[in-house]
Amino acid sequence: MDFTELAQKIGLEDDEFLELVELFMETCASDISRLQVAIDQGDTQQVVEAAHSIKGASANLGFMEISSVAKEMEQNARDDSLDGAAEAVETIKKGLDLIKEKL
Amino acid sequence: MKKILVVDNHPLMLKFMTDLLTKKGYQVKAAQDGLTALNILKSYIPAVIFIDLVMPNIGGIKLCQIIRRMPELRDVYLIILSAIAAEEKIDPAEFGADICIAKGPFNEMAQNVLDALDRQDQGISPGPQGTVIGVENIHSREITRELLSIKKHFEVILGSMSEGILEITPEARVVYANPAALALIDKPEEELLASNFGDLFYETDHQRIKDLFGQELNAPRSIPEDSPVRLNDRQISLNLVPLKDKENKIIVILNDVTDRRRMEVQLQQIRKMEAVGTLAGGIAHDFNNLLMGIQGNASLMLLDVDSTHPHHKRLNNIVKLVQSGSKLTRQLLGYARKGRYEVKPINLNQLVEETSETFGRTKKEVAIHQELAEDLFPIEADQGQIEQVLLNMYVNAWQAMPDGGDLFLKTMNTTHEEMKGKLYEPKPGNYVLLAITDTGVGIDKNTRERIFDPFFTTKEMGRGTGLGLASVYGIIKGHGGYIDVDSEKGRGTTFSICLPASPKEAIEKKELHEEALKGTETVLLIDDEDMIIDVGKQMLEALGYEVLIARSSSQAIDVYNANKDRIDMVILDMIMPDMNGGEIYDRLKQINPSIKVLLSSGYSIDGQATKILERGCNGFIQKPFNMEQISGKIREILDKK
Ligand SMILES: Nc1ncnc2c1ncn2[C@@H]1O[C@H](COP(=O)(O)OP(=O)(O)OP(=O)(O)O)[C@@H](O)[C@H]1O
Ligand SMILES: [Mg+2]
Repeated sequence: MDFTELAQKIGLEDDEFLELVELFMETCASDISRLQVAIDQGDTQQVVEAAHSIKGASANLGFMEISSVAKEMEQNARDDSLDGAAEAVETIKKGLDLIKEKL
Repeated sequence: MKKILVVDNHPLMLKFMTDLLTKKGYQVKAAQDGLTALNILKSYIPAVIFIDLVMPNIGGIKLCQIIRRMPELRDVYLIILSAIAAEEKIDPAEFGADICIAKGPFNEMAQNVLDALDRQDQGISPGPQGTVIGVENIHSREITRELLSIKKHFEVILGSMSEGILEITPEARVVYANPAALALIDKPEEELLASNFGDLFYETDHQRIKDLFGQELNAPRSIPEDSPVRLNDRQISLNLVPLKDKENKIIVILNDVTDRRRMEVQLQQIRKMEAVGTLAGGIAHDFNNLLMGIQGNASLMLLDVDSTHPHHKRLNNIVKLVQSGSKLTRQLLGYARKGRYEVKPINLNQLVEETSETFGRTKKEVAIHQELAEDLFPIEADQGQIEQVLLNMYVNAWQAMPDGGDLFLKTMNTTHEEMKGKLYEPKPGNYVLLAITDTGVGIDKNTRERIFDPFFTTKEMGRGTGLGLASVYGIIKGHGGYIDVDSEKGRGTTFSICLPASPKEAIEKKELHEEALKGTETVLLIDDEDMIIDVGKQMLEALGYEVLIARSSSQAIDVYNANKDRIDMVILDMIMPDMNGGEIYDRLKQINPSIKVLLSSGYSIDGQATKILERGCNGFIQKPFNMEQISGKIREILDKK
């Protein structure tokens, strides 16, 4: 993953892009904790909302892998299924860790 | 510098848009939801507003609608910023937006946003109104559609609920209202949203609403059904349910309890009426027999004293008190819709003329004016009760005109259709209307609501019992009629009484006798009370009659059998312990089909007397009676050929 390339792809300067990524990390962190609570409680509606938020934001910034995992989780939760949701959260967290390393 | 407002609930989107536009030299403000946006718009008039579609606290569609209603923002350029609008073929023009830009990777979005602004700057339309820009690269169409369909699902549920549902912020600002709530509050949605919840209610309820929000709301709270608040003349109970989400929003459930409350009040009144009725019915019989005893003794004593005797006046006082006493039970029974003993077709005009004449003779300071319809329909009624109604009305009018005045009595025919527009829904048919108008003190609105309540009076102790109008109301209702009041403080009052017309022909009323009429015939007096037998026998003998007595029904049959050739008529008490009046009547009639019987009673069940009269019984007299009354009834029956 190359930030400069990503930044160029969506038409931003490096530092602008970094600022947005930092904000993205923050909102994702709160979405992730919301997800974990919601999965524990089996609250599919909350899962849908949090996953939806992650999906949109990551797509905005071009993090398409994270976006597609979130998308699948959202879709399942909408069908009342939390199967694989916990694993998906882990995958997203790993993806976020990778981004964090680059910051 | 062009002013711009961006409204979106995702911080990332807000920051991106703010940075992008600031960099391009625009003045930018950001809001994370519709409510915040409206707050900003109070003092900040932008040229362009970007609005996200799905947001908490007033969504994008609502926000557009509200903005379009604000005069100073009518020309602002509204750009919808949403993935969903692109998915669902929503037409932005439908809710007042100009165009829609789809969300997606920032580079594409940035391009679309800046293009749109450039064109708008140059006065070129960025596309025909309602255009959706940037839809080409959007994925996940299915999901968004479903997101919307779930929303629609809730929308349908909320839309079909009869309870009003509001969502409000902890500061009590309204951010959502379902159709039932809108109907109850009776305001357009644009006006209601973002307004203060407490302001919807009347001043008098403000403190209670404030108390509801008093401390932090952790558990549901309510304004219960038995002490509702008022909202546009409806009575509303409230339930506040805290959502416990991160914004601490509150769901308010509004329940219209007006009808239920009204029914409860009615039920209470019916119970009160029944209780008074049972009580009054229970004592009326004994009470009236007692009064009969007093009346009888006084009548007999009056025979021995002439008007110069010092006791003459005292005895007449006793007679008057007896009348007041029996009026009391009549008023109570009237209120309880009882005491309709003898229902027959009568001419209301005649009653009005007679009663008003008697009344006018003693109340010279009241000028009585009559306007009676010549072709007035007969009514089917208990004459005694209608007289009671009229006298109550006259007395009230007279008391309302302490310095004298005019009393107008007007009768006319009418129909249920002409009675429309009243509080009640009259049964179809012809009616007789009696309007009683005085030029007295009038009744203010607060008092007017209570005048028909039993024991409600504005008169000082000893002057009014507050039973007049309560009994009037009960009697009119008992006769299938309606009563209305129209009054203005200081100007006077009109009571309008409508009674159902009867197709039967009115029975000619016999003349009232003011002097005792004597006779020599033989009368059998049947009553189980010694006191009545005692005074009754002597009263009749004083009138010249030969009197036989019987204290039970079996005795009555025996005496009649033994003396049937001698007995010219029977006076029969309706309530005998061993056999009811109707049965004794039938037995006597078997013995002699042309027997003449006068029923007498202190109290009987409604319609019982009427039934016996319908079987051929010749008359009815209410206890307590005096010499003049009983002698008149007897002559009426015996002299009839
Ligand atoms: N014609 C009228 N003009 C003004 N006020 C009236 C009139 N009729 C009734 N009211 C008001 O309605 C109240 C109730 O009347 P209602 O006849 O039931 O009782 P009352 O006259 O006070 O007592 P009661 O009739 O038992 O002697 C009165 O006290 C009076 O305030
Ligand atoms: Mg009165």
